[in-house]
Amino acid sequence: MTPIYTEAVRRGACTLLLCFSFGASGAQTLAERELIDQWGYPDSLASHSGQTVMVLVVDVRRLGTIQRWQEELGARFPELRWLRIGDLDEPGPVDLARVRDTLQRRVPRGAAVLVDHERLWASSLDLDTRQPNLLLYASDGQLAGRWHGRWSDTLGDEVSLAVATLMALR
Amino acid sequence: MKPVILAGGGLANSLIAWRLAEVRPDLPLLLLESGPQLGGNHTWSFHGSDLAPAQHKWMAPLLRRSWACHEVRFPNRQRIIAGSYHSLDNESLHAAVSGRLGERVRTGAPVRSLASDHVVLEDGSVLEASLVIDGRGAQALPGFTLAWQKFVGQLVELDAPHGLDHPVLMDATVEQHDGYRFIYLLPFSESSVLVEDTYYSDASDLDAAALRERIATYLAARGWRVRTVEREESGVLPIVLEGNPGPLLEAGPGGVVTVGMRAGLFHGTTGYSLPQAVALADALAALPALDVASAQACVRQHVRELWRSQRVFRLLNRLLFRAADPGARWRVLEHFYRLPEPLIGRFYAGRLQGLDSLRILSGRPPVPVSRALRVMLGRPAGTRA
Repeated sequence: MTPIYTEAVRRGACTLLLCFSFGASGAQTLAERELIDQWGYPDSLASHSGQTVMVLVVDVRRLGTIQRWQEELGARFPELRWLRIGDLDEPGPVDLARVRDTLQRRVPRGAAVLVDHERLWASSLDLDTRQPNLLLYASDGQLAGRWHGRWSDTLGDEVSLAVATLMALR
Repeated sequence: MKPVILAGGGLANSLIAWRLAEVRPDLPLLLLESGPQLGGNHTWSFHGSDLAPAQHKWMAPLLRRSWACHEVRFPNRQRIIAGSYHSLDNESLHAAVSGRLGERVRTGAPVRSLASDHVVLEDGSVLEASLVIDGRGAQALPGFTLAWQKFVGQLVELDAPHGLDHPVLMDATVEQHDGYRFIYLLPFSESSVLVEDTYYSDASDLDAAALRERIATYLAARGWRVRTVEREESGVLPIVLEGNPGPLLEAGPGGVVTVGMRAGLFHGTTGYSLPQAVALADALAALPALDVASAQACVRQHVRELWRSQRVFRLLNRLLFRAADPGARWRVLEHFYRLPEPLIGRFYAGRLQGLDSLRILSGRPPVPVSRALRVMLGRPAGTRA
């Protein structure tokens, strides 16, 4: 009897340990994770709950590639919320202060870029950030669509129809 | 005890009567129909996935025919879909319902007026009731922007087998007229088939003679020779593009409970009304007390939920009628039928879930994108989409 009892207790203990470890770190979803922008302000996808949100994730050195997306989609959908995430795909330690300083100087003041130096978004969603990644979230927080690439009329139409559908059915 | 009176022996009230007689056999009820038999002159159909297993069971005695699969045909896509399909018509409905209800069905009894506690017949007799349910067919829908699904159907007996073993829900390989045109085929036996010439049109007028001629042309093109036309039916069904559901949520005149097409209980895009009629019959039969207030609340909740869930269908309707040129509307349907079977099933059942609507509208659309965006966002023509 004793070995069985011991095994049951051991399994129970493992289950408890797993619960605690998820509670401590895993319970926070990607949407809830706050990132800090170049001005030091935090933001997260979860803070835009109830809105249709386009998350743009791209390597911080290629932020220029998202400009056309923002211009075109911004003109079509003024009420669309944006979350710009600058990804840092660099080996070794990252000088965050220098990155933020560069962003402050090069990015227009109204355009906050959240710096994802741990590459949380890229690794969680398997994103190639050498080109823009567009992640469309419905107002209930569901990932409704994802696209990858620079602006083109064809891709732009496809993304626009998806945004329009969510907006129309919101 | 005063009976529940069901005014109008169409599909909705016949199913309510059928279900009440089954679930509450001691409940006094009376089903009134102005014509000689229940159901008028109609065929109703539904997909297997539209109903729950228990609903299939209680509907089974009413069916005329069931098939294991169905088919759609477009210029660039032909597809056999595995889901079952079922039909009943006025004859099978009348035989089953009048068989079960007996004297509780009264045909040839047109209604002059009604209120929540009585019905006045055309002959002047007054029938008192514990509850009156009005299912006397569609009524005007003021405040709604509508398009139309209209058709003429002929049940024909051919002089040789037609070779079809399953329904063809849309044969859109035909010449297009007056919007989206397709032929609907229900093979009831090896030599009899219901052939409906159907249109998704901007106008409600029906040129029955022209449609009969096109049916004849279609039959001839398939090499089918008609021995007799057994029956003909026609219909003009509303397709709601947008509107205010307020009037549908109000009680009928005198507090009467309204059901069926009269209450707007039909699929927004396909016009199918049977799944809604089945669901409402189930809901009413399950009420703890079948009084005016409970029935009214039940129907209103049903209408409200349907209106909310049909938002995506009204959007699709606007895309179909406003973003696509009439002669190119078939492309929208052809595009739709690229989708996986379970999603098509949920579409017909009116039970879209999660991101289904996005999947329906995703991919390169068969209509000009700028026009589609304007329609979806409710922006007037001439503005930037």
